[in-house]
Amino acid sequence: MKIKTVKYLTLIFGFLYLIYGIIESLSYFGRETTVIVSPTGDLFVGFVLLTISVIYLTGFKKALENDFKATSYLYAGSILSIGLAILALLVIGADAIEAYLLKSEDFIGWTPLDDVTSYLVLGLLSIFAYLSVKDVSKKPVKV
Amino acid sequence: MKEVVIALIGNPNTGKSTIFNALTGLRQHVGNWPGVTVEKKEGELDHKGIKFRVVDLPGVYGLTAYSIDEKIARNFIVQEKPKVVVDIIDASNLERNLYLALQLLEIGANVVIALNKIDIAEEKGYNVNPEELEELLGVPVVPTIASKGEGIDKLKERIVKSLDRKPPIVEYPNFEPYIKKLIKVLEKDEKLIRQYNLRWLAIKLLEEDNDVRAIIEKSKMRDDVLKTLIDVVNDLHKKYGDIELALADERYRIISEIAKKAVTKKEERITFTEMLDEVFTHKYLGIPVFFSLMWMAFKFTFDVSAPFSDIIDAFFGWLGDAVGSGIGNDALASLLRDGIIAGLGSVLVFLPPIAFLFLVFSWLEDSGYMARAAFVMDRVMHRFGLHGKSVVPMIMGFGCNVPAIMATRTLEDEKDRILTILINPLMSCSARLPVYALFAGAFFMGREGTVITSMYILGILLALILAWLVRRFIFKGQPSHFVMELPPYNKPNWRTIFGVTWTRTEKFLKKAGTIIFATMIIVWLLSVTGPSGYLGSNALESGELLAKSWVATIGRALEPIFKPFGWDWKAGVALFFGFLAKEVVVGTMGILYGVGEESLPYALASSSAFTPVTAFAFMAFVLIYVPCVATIGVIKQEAGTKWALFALLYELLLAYLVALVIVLIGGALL
Amino acid sequence: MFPLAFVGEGKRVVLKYFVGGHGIFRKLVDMGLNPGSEIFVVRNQMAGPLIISVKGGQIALGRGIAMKIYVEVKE
Repeated sequence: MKIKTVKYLTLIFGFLYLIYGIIESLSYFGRETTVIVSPTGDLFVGFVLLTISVIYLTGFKKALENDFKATSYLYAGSILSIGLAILALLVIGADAIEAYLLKSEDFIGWTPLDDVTSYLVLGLLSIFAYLSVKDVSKKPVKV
Repeated sequence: MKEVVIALIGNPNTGKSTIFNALTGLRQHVGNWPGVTVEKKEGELDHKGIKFRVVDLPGVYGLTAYSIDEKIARNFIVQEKPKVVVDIIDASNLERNLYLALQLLEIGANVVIALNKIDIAEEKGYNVNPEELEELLGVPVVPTIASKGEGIDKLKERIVKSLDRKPPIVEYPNFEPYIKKLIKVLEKDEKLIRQYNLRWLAIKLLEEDNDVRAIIEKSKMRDDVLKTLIDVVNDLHKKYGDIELALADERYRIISEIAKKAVTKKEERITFTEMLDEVFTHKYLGIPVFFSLMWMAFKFTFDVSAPFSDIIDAFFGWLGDAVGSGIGNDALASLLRDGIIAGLGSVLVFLPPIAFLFLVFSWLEDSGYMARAAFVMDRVMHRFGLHGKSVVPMIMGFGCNVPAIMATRTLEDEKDRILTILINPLMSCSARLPVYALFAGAFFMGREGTVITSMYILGILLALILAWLVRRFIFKGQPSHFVMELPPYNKPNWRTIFGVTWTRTEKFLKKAGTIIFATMIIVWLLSVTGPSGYLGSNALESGELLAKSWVATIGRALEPIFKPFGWDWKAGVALFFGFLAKEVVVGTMGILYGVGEESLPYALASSSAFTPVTAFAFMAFVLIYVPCVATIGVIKQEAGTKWALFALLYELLLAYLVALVIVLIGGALL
Repeated sequence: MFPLAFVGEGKRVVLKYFVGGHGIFRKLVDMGLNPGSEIFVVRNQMAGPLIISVKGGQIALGRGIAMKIYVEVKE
C-alpha cells in the first residue's frame, strides 16, 4: 500500500463526512438542506459525522507529512464509519418489524427509504477505505 | 462418585471466561463468594468418565492478598486445594502472565497452563514455543485460541492426565538457603505440614505477608519461627534492601530467562490495537470518539429494542383484556388485569431495552474499549474527585440506573465505588424522558429539544458538584490511583457477550422485577380502594372516582409540601407513583386528568395547575427527587442500607431545593 | 533520575525505584512493573493519565502514581 492512496482516501472521506456533518448539525437548528439524502435533525448525528471527519482529516495531515501513522486514522475512521452504517441497518430492521409485522400507528406509510440516512450511505462507502487498510499489519505502508 | 474440583485462574483479559464457557458449556452456576459482592462462577465438566467441578477464580495479576480478588483466589487454592489449577496465560503478554504462574507453583498448586491468544501473539510478531515452555517450567502447556474454540479438547485431556501429577518446585537461587532455614523450623509443626506448603509459608514470611503471619501466630512453633525469621530478614535486608521487591526481581529474572528460550520475536509489526489506540486515546480525538460511541450505544439500545417492547406491551394489553373480560367479579378481574398482568407487563416492557443496553456494554467491555474510555475520561473525572472508571456506570445511567449501579463493581476502591453509586441516580435515565417530553411539549412548544437537553445537563452538573462535595467533606482525599491494563482489542466473542448479558439481565429481572411488580400491586390496591371501601376498577380510568381513593388522600396530604411550587394534589399523586418508576408519572397524570396520553399535553397546558416556570420546576423535581424503587433496592444491595437511605434523603432535599430555586428565580424574572 | 510522569511520548526508560507507600506498588510489580524493567511511554499528554508499555503489555497509569515512579533514561 502506498502513502498516496492513504492521502487520497483520507482527503475524500474527510470532506464527505465534513459536508454531511455540517448539514446534519444545521438541520438540528432548523436549516434543512437535502443533498441526495435528507438530514435527520439529530444534533448527535452531526457531532458523530464531524468527529469521523476530523479523524480522516488528521490522517490526511499525517499523510502529507509522510507519517506512517496516517494509516491508523484511515483504519479507525473507517471502522467507526462502518459501525455507524451497521447501526443504521439494524435500525431499519427494527423499524421494518414495527411497520410490517406489528403495523404500529407511528409507522404507517413507512418505507425503508425513510431510514436511509447520510451515515448509512457514507458508512457503506467507507468499506472501500477499510479494504485498503485491512492488511496493513502484514503489508506495512510504504512511505 | 466424587466430584473432582479444579480451578481456573489467570490475569484479567486473558480470555479466562471464554475458556470457562468452553469447558463447562451451559452447566454453570453464578453466585457470590461468601461475604463479598465478588461474582463466583462454577460449572460442571464431564471428561473420560470423571466428573469435574470447575471454579472460575477472579482475574488477578498476583497472589499477594492485596485486593479482595487476590484474597479470594489465594484462599481458595490454599484452603480448598483444587486437584488442578488451570492457569490461563496470554501468549502475547507472556512475561507478566508467568509471574502469576510462578506464584501458583510456590503455593504448590498442580498447575496446567493454557497458553491462550497465540493468534494475537502472532499478530504482534511473537512466536511462543509451547513444548519449550513446558520443558522449562515443568508443567503441562496447552496452546489454545479460546475465541475460536481451538485447543479446548486438548486442554481437557491434559487436565485429566495431570490429575495426580506432582508439581515442580521453582528454585530462587538467591534465596534458597534462607527459605530452607525457615522450612527447617516450620516442619517441626505437623499441623502446618498437613495444611500448607511449607516452602510457600517461608516465602510469604519473607515478604512480610500479614495472613501468613497470622497463621504462624497460631503455630506451636511461633517463637522459634519468628526468631529465625528476624535473623534471616536482617541478613537479606543487608544484601538486597527491600526483600519483597528483591523476590519479585528474582521471579522476573527467572521468567525472562524462560522467555528468552521459549519466545522468538519476528519483525516488528504495527498491530490493529496500536492503530485504533492512535485515534481512540488521542489527546483531542479521544473524548469526541468516546461520546460518539456512547451515542451509538444508546441509539442501538432504544431504537433497535423498540419493536420488542411493543410486542410485549401489546401482548400484555391483550392478555389483560382477555382475562379481565372473562371474569365476572369486578374486583378479581381488576386484580388480574390492572394489578398482576399490568404490573408484570410494566416490568417486562423494560426487558428489551435493558437487555440491549447490557448487550452493547458487554460488547464494548469484551472488545477492550471500556478501558480506553476510562483512560480518556479520567482527566475530567479526576477533577471532580471521581475515578476514570466511574465514567462507564455514569453513562450507563442514562439508560437505566439499576444496571449502571451494578456496573460500579469494576471500581476496586470502596470510596470510589460508593461515590459513583450515590451520584448515579442524577444521571437522567430513560424512564424520565417521557415526563420531560410531556411537559416540554405542553409548556415549551418549539423549544422542546433545548428544554429536555437542559434537564440532562442539570443532572450531570448536579452529579459532578455533588461528587466534588462528597469528596471534599465525607470521603476526604483523592480518588484511588488509576492503574489499569489496556488489553488488545478483541473481535467480538459472542458466547461470552451473550453469557454476560444474560446473567446481568436475569439479575435485573430478579431484583428489580420483584420490587417493581410488588409495588405495582400495592399501587393498584391503593387506587381502587379508598376511605369508603372498594371503588371499582373504573377508578383507574376516571379521575373523579380516583379522587376518592387512598392515592388521592396521599396526594392531598402531600399538597402543603408542594405549595411553594403551586402544584396541586394531582402532581403529588403523580410524584408519589413516580417513586415506582418515573415514567409512571405520565400515565398517572393521564388518569388524573381523565384523558389519553395523546391529548394530555393540551389538557395540562389548558389547566391552571402549571405555569411554564412551575412546569420547569416540576421537570427538575422529577429528574432529582428520588431514585425509583428498583434503584434504591440495588443501592442497598451494592452499598448497604445506610447509603441507600442517604441517597433517598439527599435527593429529596436536593430536588426540593432546586425546584424552589427555579420557582424563585423564574418568579423574579417573569 | 526523574519521575515517569516527566518522560515524553516515544521514549524508553528503565524503572529505578518507587517512592511512598507499599500497597499500590505491589500491584504494579504484579503487573510487570518491577525495578529494572524497561518502560516505553506510549502516551503522555502532560495532563491526565499516561499509557506505558512494559513486558509487551500496555498499562494506563494515573499521573499521581507516575510521579512516584522514578526512572532513568535507557542508554
